[in-house]
Amino acid sequence: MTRWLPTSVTLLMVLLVFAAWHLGFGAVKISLPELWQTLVHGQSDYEFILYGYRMPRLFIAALVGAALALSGLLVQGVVRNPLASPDILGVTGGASLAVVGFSIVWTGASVVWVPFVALAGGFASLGCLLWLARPVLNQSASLALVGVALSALFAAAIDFLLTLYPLEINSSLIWLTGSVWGRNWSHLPLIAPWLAVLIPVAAFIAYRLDLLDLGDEAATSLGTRVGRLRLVALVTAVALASASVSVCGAISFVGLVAPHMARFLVGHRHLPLIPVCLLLGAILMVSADLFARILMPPIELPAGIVTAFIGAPYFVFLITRYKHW
Amino acid sequence: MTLPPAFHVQNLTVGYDQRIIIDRLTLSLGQGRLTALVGPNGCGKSTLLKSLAHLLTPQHGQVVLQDGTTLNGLSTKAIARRIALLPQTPLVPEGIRVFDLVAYGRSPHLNAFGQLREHDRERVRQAMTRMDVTGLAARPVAQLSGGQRQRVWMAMILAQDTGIVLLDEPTTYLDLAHQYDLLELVRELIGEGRTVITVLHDLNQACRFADELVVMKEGQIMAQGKPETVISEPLLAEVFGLDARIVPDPESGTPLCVPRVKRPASARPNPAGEAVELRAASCALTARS
Repeated sequence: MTRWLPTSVTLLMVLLVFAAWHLGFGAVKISLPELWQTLVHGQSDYEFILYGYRMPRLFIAALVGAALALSGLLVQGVVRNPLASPDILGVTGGASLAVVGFSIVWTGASVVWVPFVALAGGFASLGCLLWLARPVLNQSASLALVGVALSALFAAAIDFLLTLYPLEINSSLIWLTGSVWGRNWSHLPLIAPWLAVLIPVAAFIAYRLDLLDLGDEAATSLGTRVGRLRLVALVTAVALASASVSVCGAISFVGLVAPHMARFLVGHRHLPLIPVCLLLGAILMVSADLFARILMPPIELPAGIVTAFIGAPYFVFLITRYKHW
Repeated sequence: MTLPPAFHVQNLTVGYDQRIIIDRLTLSLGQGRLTALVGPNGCGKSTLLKSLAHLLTPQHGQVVLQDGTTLNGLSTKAIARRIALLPQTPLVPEGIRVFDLVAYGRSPHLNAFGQLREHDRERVRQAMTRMDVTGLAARPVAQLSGGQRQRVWMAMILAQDTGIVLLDEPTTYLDLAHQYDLLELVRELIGEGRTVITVLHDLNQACRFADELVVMKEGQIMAQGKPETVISEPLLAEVFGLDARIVPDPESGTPLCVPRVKRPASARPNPAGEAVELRAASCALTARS
């Protein structure tokens, strides 16, 4: 497949268009020439809005979208199921539960800790998943089912806590729907290093994930250590998803839809899928945050609601197109 | 045969979870020969085949290769450079094309990114020519017929370029003509000096094509040797619970098992009878099955 390069370049252009739109629109509109003026010459009235608010938000939205998309690609590669996404493995639920629990136990705690709590929750839920599913680790469908059960359990626990402690939890409610609102430069180190480390890991296992598509037996007889591959891919996926959740909360559908779109564009091989998937995730998330801000100003919707609005119908459309799963 | 065995299975115990399928099995499998593993369903022949490729890790015992190395001591990739296995039902990845699938056979010889060198491409092309699928190279595998698809899988196995080839019921989804084509091809591989071990369901095909039969029942070896010496009426009765006559195959002279008729003469279709009777008889047949 050589289509990935032109596809990636096109997607990069689309991302830049959305990025410019994202930077320019909002309560204070900045025209394109003014935007150029500020970015290149650095002398403008808008410097504060751009560098203080919109730029960090843009970067974080793009990186979170990319991380979620890559996470979804890896999970789908391992579980071999089109419905697979980081959400169904219980990672998002685990991270959310950790945050809710944290805001009840330490009522006065600073929000600075929230990302770390979410990260710990995500990894703890991976631990639960691997422990519960250890007899069925080599059966993809069973692994997914254990994940679904775990997610349902976490969701139930969150609902229970919400009814029990309605006041203490108020602040974490916004977080649960997933939003890029109020994110600043200090959040960037929470997501960027993960991507810097884990994208190369994903590229390194990409070819072996291709072989895994032949089934466990064929992949093994072609020299792949299936068990280890599955573990590395899962841990990578969960780390990416947890990092995203820790910064933005639970953003649904990006991890599910982006890999599908990428496959539709460049086929089944994981290595070319990686850049395309990253870009698509970034576009989805940046555009979702853009629409979340401009649909009914000055009210801002959480981006997670917009991704669900865009993602759900598109996903139904994709499912009707897929015949070979 | 004076060659050392391709496989020496020593005291092998394998199973899934707590269920033991093969218990303390010892046997040798010949180098440069076609060995067919036969036996009733659930006798452990597929399990044995998977153990030979180390897809299943033995609970006890070991599998020793010709040069004295044990499978336990080799990496998955090192095993894949020596032994190719075609599973009974490999999955076809979404949208994959024939050339790419055959090229996966090269993967044990490639780096982590699966970069094909010119030498690898040449091997892929040779394997495709060999299996007569060169014309299909750009076609999606999912669109091929069962027979074409099986030839593509065989091309992948050939591209892997191993001295030992293991096949798990390779004829299952093929019509009769393609079954014999495939088995003829397997004989050609033997002619090139490769070792092939295959699970086969059809005893008569096994007798015609294999140099050696390994007859299994409940995880144990019931008989091993040339088809002519192994296949006997008492063996068929004991292993398969089949009451059959053994006659020489009119084409090859190898043993041909012909099950004895059990139905009463009245239910049998009469070649001289009327169409109505025939229909009645076929109804009776359907009712039986």
